[in-house]
Amino acid sequence: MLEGTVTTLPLVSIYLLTLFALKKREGIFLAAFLSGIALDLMLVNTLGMRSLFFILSLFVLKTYEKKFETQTLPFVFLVTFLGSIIYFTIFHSALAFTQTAVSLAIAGVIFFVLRKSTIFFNKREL
Amino acid sequence: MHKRDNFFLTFLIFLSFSILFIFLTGIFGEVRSSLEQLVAPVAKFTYGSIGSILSLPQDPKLKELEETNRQLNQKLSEKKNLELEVAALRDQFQTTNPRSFDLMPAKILGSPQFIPGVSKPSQFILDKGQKDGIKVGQAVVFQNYLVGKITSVSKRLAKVSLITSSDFSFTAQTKPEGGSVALGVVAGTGDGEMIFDKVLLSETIKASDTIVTKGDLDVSGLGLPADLLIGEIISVDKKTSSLFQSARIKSFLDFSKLSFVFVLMQ
Repeated sequence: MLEGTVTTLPLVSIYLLTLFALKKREGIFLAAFLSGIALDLMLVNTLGMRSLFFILSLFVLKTYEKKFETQTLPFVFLVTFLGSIIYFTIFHSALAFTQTAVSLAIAGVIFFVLRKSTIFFNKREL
Repeated sequence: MHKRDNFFLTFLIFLSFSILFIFLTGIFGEVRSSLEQLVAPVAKFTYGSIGSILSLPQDPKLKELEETNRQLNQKLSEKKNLELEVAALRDQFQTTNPRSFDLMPAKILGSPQFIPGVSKPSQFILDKGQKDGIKVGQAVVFQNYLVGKITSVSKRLAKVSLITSSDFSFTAQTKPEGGSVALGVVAGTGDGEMIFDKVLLSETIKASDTIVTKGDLDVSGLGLPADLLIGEIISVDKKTSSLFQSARIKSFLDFSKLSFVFVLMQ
C-alpha cells in the first residue's frame, strides 16, 4: 500500500525477493502475482506489468537457488541490487542509484527481521 | 512437489502475460475501471493515514486560519476569472463585425504541445462541444480578429486549429485602402507566424499592410466570413523571376495570452 501511494521504492519487490531467498514457499508466487495486480491498479499502469516482473524475478531466483547459498545477506543484497536496477529501468523512476542504495538498506532490515522471526517461531515449535 | 511448483509458476507467468496483453489492447477498459474502484478506497485510506502520521500536530486555530485563507484564495481566483470573462464579453459585444448574437463564448481549456518559451500555440481545446451546437469548420474569433477554425469536436469539447498552425490555409486579401486589394493564400508556418503567398507580381503589397479574410462561407454557414483581421505584413519577398510574390505576416493577437474566444455559430 505504501508503494502504491507515497513512495517509488520497490518495497514489494524487495520483500518478495528477500522472503523467497529465506523461505522457499509456493504461496510467495501467488502473493507476487496479486500484489503486482494491486500495484498496477493503484499506480494506473498497464495491468500485468508488475505481476510479470515480480514472478519473473522469483523465477530467476528459483533457477539459481541450488547454485548459490541464498539464505545469506550478500546474496540478498546482490538480488536486491539487480532487481532494483531493473525495476527502475523498466518503470522509469528518477534517482535510480540513490533509490537502489535505500532499497539495499531496507532489504538488510527485512532480512534480519525475517531471519529473527523464523528463529523465534522455530524455537517456539520446539 | 517440485513439478507442481514449476507448473504453478509457469501458469502464473502465462496468466501475467495474458493479462498484460489483454489490457495493452484496451479491450477491457470497463473491467479495469471497476477494479480501480475496488482499490481506490484502500489507496485513499493509506494516503490519508500516511499524511496524518507525517503531518506535525498543529494548533487548531492555525489550522482554521489556513483553511479560511485557502477558501479566500480560491474565491479570489474565481473572481479574477469572472472579471476576465466579463471583460472579454464586453469587448466582443462592442465589436460590430462579427455580430455578437452569432457568437458562442468558449473558454480555452488547453493548448496541446504548447510549451511557453519553447513553442508557440498551434491548437486550442475549448470547453464547448456538440451539445452546444459546435460543428467542424466553424470560425473562431476574438473581437474582430480571426483565431482559427474548429477541426474536431466531441460531445463536450472542441479542438481549434490556429491560423498560425502549419495545417491551416485559407484565402485572404489586403485590407482595401484606396480601392485596390491584393489576393493571396495565407498559410501558417507553425512558428507563430503566417505566409501570405500566391500574390500576383502585379499587385502591390508592403510591410505594415493589414491582411483580412476574403471569406469562404458555404451554404450551411460554415467557414470563414469576410473581413476578419488576420495580421500585418512584416516583410515582403518579391522576385521578378517568380510567378508570385509572398510576405510574412504577424498576427495582431498574442495567442498564448488568450483565455476566452468566440465561436461563430452561423
